[in-house]
Amino acid sequence: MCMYAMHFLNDVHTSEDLVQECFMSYWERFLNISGNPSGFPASPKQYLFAMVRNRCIDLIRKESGKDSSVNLSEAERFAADEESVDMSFLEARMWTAIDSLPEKRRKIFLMAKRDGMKYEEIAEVLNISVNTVRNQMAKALDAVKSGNGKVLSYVLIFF
Amino acid sequence: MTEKEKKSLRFVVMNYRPGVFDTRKAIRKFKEIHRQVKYLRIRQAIIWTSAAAAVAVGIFACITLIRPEYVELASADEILTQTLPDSTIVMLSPRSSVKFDSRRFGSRHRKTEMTGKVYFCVARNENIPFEIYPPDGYVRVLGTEFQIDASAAGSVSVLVDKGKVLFSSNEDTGGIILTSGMGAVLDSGSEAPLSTDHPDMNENTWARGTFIFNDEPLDSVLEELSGYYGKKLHFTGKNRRITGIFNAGDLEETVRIIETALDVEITIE
Repeated sequence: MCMYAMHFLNDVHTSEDLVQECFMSYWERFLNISGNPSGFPASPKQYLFAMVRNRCIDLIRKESGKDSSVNLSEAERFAADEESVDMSFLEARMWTAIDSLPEKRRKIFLMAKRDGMKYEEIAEVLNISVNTVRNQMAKALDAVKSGNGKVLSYVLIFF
Repeated sequence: MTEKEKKSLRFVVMNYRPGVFDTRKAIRKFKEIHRQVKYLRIRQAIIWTSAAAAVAVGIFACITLIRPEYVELASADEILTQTLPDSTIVMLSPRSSVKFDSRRFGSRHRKTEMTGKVYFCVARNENIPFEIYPPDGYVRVLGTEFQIDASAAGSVSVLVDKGKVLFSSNEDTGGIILTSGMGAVLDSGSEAPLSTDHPDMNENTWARGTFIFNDEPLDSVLEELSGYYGKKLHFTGKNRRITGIFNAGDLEETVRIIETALDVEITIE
């Protein structure tokens, strides 16, 4: 959901706070009532994502004054896209995978994928062999592509 | 990787920050907040329950405190002299009583009820008037010495030695004010007490301990003494008049004084 929010807000901290708030609201409303929670949403996933989307759009609208008119149309496009939610799940898995990489490997991975550096350049800057870089990259990509575990299990608890 | 996946990876990589969106951390934080909320809720519940309990205790205490605690002084066959919490002295003639709320008497008010015949020496307190409720009527006092006689059914009389007293049929009607040497009688059902002309001050002798005679003829004096001591007194000589205060102790001594002063002879039977 944070990744989903990121598409709207482009800021990690705002996204995190917003999602946390959504969760708290959800919890308060449906899960904290002792006895039979009435009106429990049929699809928590849809409900929660809708909540995040609405709050993000509200936030963007509030921030109008800057060049947020661009943000708003982009945001609305993203929101309308049916695949956005699933894409966010994938992105979340990737994020967690990167997070779980050992420090050095992550650094190399980011230098390559984010900063667009060539393996040779990376090797030089870090003072290691190109082979090492290649190795690390292979392992990183493997982890990112298949990284399922943690995110999914926690997500399943809620959904 | 598909195109879409590549796009996603790009998005992730471009925005990646370490230490953010850590699911485990988020859950921990969530649990922490929730635990705090739970504690807060529990604490709130405790506070409310304690408050409710305190209020209940408070109400109970108030009810217990508000309930009056009456003290009754009653005399049997002898004169009973007692001091009330405000230093007022009450002398109860036989078969009389005085009742007051010990919780409030002296602090909030000085209200008393009485039956029979009671002599009051009311301690001075300008802030709290001394109020008496005989079977009929109402007497309010500042600081005085006086008698209320309610022993005769159907009427209440008040006789004042010292000070000032308000005597009326109830606390709301203005009555009459009696000062030293004045008396009044309230008959049951009357609107207001009637003042007595020349009240017999010696009605108070039993409490005061002295006889007061003001230009009184000897025969009536002797009649008074007879009644008080229960002995027949006769005299020979002129029916002179007496003015004076005599101790109501030894009859013979009183008689002797009178004999000497008036040059008469008095016999006691």
